[in-house]
Amino acid sequence: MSGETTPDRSRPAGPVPAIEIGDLSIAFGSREVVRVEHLEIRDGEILGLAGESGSGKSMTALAILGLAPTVGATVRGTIRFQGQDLLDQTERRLREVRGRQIAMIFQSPVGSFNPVFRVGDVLVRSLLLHGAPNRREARSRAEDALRGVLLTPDLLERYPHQLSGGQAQRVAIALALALQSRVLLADEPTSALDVTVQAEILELIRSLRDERGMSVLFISHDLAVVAELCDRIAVMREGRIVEEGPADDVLRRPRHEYTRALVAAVPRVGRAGAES
Amino acid sequence: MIEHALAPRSPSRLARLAAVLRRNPLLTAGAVLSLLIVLAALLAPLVAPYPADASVATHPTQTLLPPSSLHPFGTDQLGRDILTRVLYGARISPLIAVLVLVIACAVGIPLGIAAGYFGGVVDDVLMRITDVFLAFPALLLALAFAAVLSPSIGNTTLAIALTWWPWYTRLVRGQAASVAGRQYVEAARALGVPHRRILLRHILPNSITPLIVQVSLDVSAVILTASALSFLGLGAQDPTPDWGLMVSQGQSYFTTQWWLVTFPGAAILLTAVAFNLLGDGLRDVLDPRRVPTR
Repeated sequence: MSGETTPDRSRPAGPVPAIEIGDLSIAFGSREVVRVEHLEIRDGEILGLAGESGSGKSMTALAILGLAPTVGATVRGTIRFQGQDLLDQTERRLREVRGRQIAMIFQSPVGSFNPVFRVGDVLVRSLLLHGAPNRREARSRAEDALRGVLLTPDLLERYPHQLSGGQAQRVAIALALALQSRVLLADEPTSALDVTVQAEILELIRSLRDERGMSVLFISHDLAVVAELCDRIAVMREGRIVEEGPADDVLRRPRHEYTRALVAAVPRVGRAGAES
Repeated sequence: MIEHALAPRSPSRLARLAAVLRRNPLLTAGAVLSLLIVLAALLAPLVAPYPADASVATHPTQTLLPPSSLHPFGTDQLGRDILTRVLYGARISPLIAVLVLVIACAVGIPLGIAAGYFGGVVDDVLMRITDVFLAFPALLLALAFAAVLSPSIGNTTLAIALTWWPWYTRLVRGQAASVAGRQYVEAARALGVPHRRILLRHILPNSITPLIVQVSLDVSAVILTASALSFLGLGAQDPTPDWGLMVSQGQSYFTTQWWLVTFPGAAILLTAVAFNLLGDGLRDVLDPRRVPTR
């Protein structure tokens, strides 16, 4: 994108990172909860960020959107996106980046929608906020986006509580689609869903990457899910990245003992070849 | 960037309201009673038997007459027709109550949602100011204000409103703080929605319900507070047919001439019930989860 970042050190020559985090430090008062020296989400890849709850995964995602301060954290370091450091931007500029360029979806799909409004209201207003010329146009974009995630446009008439978890998560993804976000931050997007629906959502996320070149940061405590979906995996523990690499490498030959423990906790993945 | 309600809304609001009214007889009752009070206020000069009795007229020969066909509610210690005064009273007490509550909401709600949503320093400053107002007993504070402001209905309204808003700030702040932590608020921020709009569209509608119920319950409390001020000579003054004033003036006759207190008292009760039912029903209408859309 920006083209001014240095080529990747020893890694196989990949595309330029969509987002590059450097020396990120997130602290509540004097307590540092995240310390990331380097992490990049490359263009068009799905990066898995795994780790137990409280390890700082979600805070990292919030920091990318400049939202960590709203929960009382102080953030230092750099987060480069399209040649700019997001941590240097004004609130006004950040609001333009949020949603339009970097979208985020959350763990509780239905809870991500204000119960007071119809789903269509939410989508249309978000599109108007991010440059749709008028309501009619926004409406038709929202309908298209819904079709893009295999939902029928009549869902726009529903209230959030009338959607299933899977439908609601699709709608949330549809919004990212309609806004043509370049990067999707998915914070445990399937953890609240049952297994079959979870598989559908994972498939949908994969297709966004394949068909639209979206870059995805996929956050999950569930290594099985991460393993299924991601190109690369970063493992986070107590605010630090303890291991990072191509998904297969990390799963087959975990170097850090914490990763080993995580892999061991998911028998089917790590030892698929060894057993059965 | 002000948003209007979205275009396609298949069952219209009116249709929804009609459906709610049909399914909720208590709300209907509240609406009918409230309408009755408004009608009484509007039509008092036409339907009251002795309009002059609502102002300065007195009839020294007809004092304390019990209810009869001439005076369905009897007459008071100055010979005035109580039915007339109760009807005209619908122009005063409910109006005071509504004004007080509107002012209290106008001040209390914005401060409450701001304190609850932003937290931190904003919260601390706003809530300490609120606490200062709450530190004094409401009636005492209202008394002090009323005394400084010179007695009149307008000033009574202002004095009561000044003591009323901090309760609403408190109530709304607690709700707003809990709503601020919900995921859809985080999602809205992650979408780049500005604070002002988050406050208006996400925090406000989701933290207002307990307040609506509280406000409806407070109608009677305000009327009683206003009458207490009247009783102490700081509110409505004598010829004014204020229900509270009538109750307090009739107190000394209660054991022998029950009608002096009973009818204006019943009017206060009726108003309170009407608004309570209305508030309850309103809560149902405002919560989409309780209304099947089709």
